[in-house]
Amino acid sequence: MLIKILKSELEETLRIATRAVSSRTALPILTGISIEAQGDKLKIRSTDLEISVEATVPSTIEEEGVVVVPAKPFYDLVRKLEEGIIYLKSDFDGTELSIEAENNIYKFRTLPPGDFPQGVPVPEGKKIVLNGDDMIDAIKKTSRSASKDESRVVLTGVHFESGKNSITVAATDSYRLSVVTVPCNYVDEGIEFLVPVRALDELSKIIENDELEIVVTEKQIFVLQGNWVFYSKLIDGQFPAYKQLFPEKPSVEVTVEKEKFVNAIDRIASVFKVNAITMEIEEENMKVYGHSSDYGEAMEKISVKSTGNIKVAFNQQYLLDGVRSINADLIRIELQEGLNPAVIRPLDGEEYSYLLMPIKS
Amino acid sequence: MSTTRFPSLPKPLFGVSKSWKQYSKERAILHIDMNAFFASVEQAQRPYLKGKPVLISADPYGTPKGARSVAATASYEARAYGVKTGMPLFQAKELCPHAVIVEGDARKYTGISLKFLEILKTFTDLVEPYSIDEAFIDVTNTEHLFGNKVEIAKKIKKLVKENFGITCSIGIGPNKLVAKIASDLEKPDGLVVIEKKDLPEAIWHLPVEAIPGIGRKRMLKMNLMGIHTLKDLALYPQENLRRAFGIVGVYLQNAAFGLDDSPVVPEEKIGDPKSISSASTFGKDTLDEEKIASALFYLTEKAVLRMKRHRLKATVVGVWLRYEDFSSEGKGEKVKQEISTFEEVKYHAFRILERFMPPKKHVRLVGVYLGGLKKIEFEDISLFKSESKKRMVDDLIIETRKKCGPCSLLRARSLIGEKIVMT
Repeated sequence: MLIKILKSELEETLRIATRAVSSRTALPILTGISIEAQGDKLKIRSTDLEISVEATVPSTIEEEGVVVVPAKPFYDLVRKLEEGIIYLKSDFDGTELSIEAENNIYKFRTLPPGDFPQGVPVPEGKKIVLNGDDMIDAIKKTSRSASKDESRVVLTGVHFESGKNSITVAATDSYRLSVVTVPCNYVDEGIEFLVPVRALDELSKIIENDELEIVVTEKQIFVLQGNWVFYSKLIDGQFPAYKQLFPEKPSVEVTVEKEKFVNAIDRIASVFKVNAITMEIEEENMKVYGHSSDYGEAMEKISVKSTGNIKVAFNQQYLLDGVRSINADLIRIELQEGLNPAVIRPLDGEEYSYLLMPIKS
Repeated sequence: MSTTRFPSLPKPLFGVSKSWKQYSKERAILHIDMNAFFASVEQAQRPYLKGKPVLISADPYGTPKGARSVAATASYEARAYGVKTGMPLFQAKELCPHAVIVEGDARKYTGISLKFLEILKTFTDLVEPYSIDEAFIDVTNTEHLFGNKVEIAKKIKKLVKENFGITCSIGIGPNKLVAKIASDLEKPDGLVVIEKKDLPEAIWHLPVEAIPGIGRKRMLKMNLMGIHTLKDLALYPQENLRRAFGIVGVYLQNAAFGLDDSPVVPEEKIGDPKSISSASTFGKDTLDEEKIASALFYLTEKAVLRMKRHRLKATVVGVWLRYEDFSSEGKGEKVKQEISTFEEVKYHAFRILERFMPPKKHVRLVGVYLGGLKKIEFEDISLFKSESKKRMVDDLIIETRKKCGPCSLLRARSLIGEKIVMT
């Protein structure tokens, strides 16, 4: 194999292509990336068997070939090389890959390419086409709500469901739920799938603000943009029916400035270590307070608009996550008496809702 | 049934700090010890065993020689033949061939033990369980309500007899150490009072092993040093004791004077555990995955319920195995989200167990560990009813067991490979 490529291009390709490198070392081959030179294209792949990514970059290929090298040191090295042309060379039996720049030669021992899992070509399937930024927004708003505990596998996934020219994305760890609807340029009917939140977290790091295509099959999704394809296994299971959880009519509706509210919760929770925050709304006043077992009592007052008086307590983390995830200056909080969920939304628009349960104190 | 499912052995060592004189008021401490507990319970419940030598064992049908089953308790009739608690069963049989061997029922004994503590709590809130069949109570401030400390002791003896049909020995002293020594003086069915004014001479004639914390090993060492009685120990040069036993030597010498200022600490007041583990040795080493899984299931439930009672949640779950050759293997897993329900913990415990299945060697013991414990300040409520129900099951089991005894409500899977003795 002999490849001639610009350092900056190789680095950018590696940034994308190393996203699926396995962090676990149970299968050493998966700590590597597969570098495949064919025709006039250099393709770099990584996979941890659950998620995979392939990035292609045009380059001058003087001799075709395939090698697998340890991903992390290889990427770290390329990043630190000086700008300019790099040659990737492997000897006839592919046991070594050398990186040669003007003044450096590094020879990497390779891993057996035959052991590296085969790539999967993008199959036919139902399609979604949307803007990259909208996808990132949907991921950011929902991924925090997904469960981190694998004992409830279904809840470690983010749920996608197609609507009319839009897609509704939801995640829940059973204590709170995020639902966001984003517009699509094209969407097939009847799409519903569950993606591991981990896959989306990785995906959100490589998506650019450009058109993005998603191909959905029964067991996998393929996400395509620019020069890369990212694919992930889907979670098999029934996501809980969440639409019915939204209360029909809230007892009290409160409008509050996001900035003020976030700062208050942040001081009370992050600094003063209050875990259970009580919100007490009286007329045009909201008292936010709590007890810290470390330091003592905390209380803040914020002026709000409200339709009534109410007192409810929440887990500070869930409350803060919800309020923070809203991109609007004014937020609307719909509260209910008793142990019923509250809904947090941007004041204008319904495209995003964050549902959370109060706590029993 | 395994031997280790009987609650753990007594915690050692009584302490004396320099400020032992801080107690201006003379304390009235009782140590209550239910005599030959397991055997007495069986004799009380099965009249045909009365007057006969009885041995209680977890695995009475185990192969006689070399088997690990031991006599968990021997009745007084059996003790007359020299049988001791903890003696291998085959050896006990040699000493007392006509002994009746009864399979122990840990759940039954635990139930009685809890009721026993309830009885004690009617006399004072300062009740410290010391083992399954022993407890300390401090009646210093409640003595006058019931007559006096001796009256209280008599009432307890009567209640234990009425409720369980068994006898107990009670020692009364100015502290836990002396109370414990006193209760050991008269067995079975004893009542011994040692007054503070009679100390230390009242205990000086006793052999050194009367002090809890002096086992066979220390006793032999002391005997070699010429220390046989507590008087010998009390009058021995402290420097030499320190050299021979370290700081423990000083404590033991204080004990020989009958000095101990450790308070009676009720179970509820004992701080939250930093970690919780629960392990069980199989009656016979096993390769049976179902049996191992069933044991782990039971142990996990036990650990989770204990965690719940303390209102804690876990961030680390571990499982370990000990094999026939005493080699061990285990793994801990940090969980990303704090977990508190049985379902959650079970998931992680079984996922870890899977790594070791099928077992490569016969398994002797399996255990589960919960670590990184944090206090639950409040309860998060699930949006979904099915989730909240799982939590309710745990709470229901805890409540039911509290009211109706430890074997009143069980998850069926923990019964596999387990013999429940019905009487």
